[in-house]
Amino acid sequence: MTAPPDTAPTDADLLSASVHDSDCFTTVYDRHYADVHRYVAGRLGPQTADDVVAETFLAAFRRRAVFDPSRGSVRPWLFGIATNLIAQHRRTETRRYQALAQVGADRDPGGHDDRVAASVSAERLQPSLARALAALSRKDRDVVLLKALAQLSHEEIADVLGIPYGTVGSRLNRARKSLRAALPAHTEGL
Amino acid sequence: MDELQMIGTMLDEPPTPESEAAVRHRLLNGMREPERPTRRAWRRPALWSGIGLTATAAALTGVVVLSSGTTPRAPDAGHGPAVQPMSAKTVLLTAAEHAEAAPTTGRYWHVLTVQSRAFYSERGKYWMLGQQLIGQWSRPDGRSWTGYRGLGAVPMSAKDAPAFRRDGSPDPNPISPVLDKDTATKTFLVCDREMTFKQVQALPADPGKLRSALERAIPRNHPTAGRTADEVVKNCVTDLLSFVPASPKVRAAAYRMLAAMPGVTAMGEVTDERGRKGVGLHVRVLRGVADTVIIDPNTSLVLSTSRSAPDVPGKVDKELYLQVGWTDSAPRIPTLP
Repeated sequence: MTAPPDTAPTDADLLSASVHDSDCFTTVYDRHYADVHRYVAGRLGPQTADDVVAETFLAAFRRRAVFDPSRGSVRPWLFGIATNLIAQHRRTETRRYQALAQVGADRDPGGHDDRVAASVSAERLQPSLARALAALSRKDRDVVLLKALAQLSHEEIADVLGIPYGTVGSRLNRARKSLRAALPAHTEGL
Repeated sequence: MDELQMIGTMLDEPPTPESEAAVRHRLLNGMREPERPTRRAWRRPALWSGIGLTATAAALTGVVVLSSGTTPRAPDAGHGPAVQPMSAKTVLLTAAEHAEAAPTTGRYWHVLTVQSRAFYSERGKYWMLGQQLIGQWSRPDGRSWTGYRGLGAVPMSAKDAPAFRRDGSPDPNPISPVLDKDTATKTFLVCDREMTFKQVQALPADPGKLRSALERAIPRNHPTAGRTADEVVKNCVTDLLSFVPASPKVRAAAYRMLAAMPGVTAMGEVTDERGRKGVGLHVRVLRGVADTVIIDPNTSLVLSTSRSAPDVPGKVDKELYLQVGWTDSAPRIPTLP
């Protein structure tokens, strides 16, 4: 690449350049791989994640010519593709939450003396939290996990899911309320 | 720590260098491939499981394969008898007879197809089909060659045409014309099982044995595995009939098997996308999945197949067969006839 060192091209520039020069796409990949993988692996587990992340970037590569920068940036676009692919693995996702609910339930709550209290409590909450997450509607869960795992802004989540900005807030509020309701009362403010 | 942070902590799976390397490897390989559905994993997996690139919300697969009048077994336009309304059974049994008489000489088994993949333009809110011409040449010794040529894109339906043109008729997946020698030998996909030329030719012609062979071929983790034998077979026979160098007797047996299946109905005379006349058959494969197969009973050739799943909106897998048969012409970068 011969771009001047101090003016890094934007994702959208790279994507548009990649239509004729595929190498530019690997820079887009380098920039977003870790975040996308964390998001997908959080929802589907590490094994399935490798497949889905590779598919996400390949799908993006194949659709690079029709990416429209005026409709949002590359990052939410990638998360949108990933979210669509995750939707096809719903059973894997549910199994993951069920497994997390099981793991926590077996733990001896008194066996972690060496841990800080907060972390012990967080671990003890895991089963309730995992169950509550599994119980959310898919739409609400998408919003929650784009926030919790990918730290996207409300605007970005609206872009990812193709929903109005206000809907992101209302879905998030509703979901957080039911997540909180599933946790024991004394854990508030943890 | 609020509940979102707790969820983030609970679900955190930091990426490992191994998985980064694996994903990068797959991506780079995929990028090098000029997107080749080819004989490998054409359509069934995407449609059945909804897994895979082709099934993302904004990108689905259609496969179109074309045919010309230059094949050894091409329809003889001159004196085909006028097609009477026939039952599915009559159509298929007629095709079976002609399949048995089909010539089997030539250096290469050759299939010329146009495959299309659907793309959605977020910008213009329209669907288009990116098209590729794909020619495949297979020698009985297992060697094979595959050639590709990009054909640009067309709007998916009349509804999409104005927006597609306004957008400058873009090619969503440009590729350069190329001819490759295939490295693998299992180049034929029957029942979603990759088979070699020899395996395909060794399929039994006895309908009972053929049926068992097909049932055995289904991969264990396949969505139709464990289904009724009829469903399994209906899912597979179009593979045998459309693009595989099975022996004439096997093709005839496949047609007879289909003729005896429940859920197969004739649609009368229809015209395919190239304007060729044939007889349409509606094959109900599973609940929610149906194939439309257009065949020319006089030659036993399949002109086109399309599979649709009504509960997956807009999801159609289509193939139009241009040339299917034996030829002496050497492999080359394909051109539209």
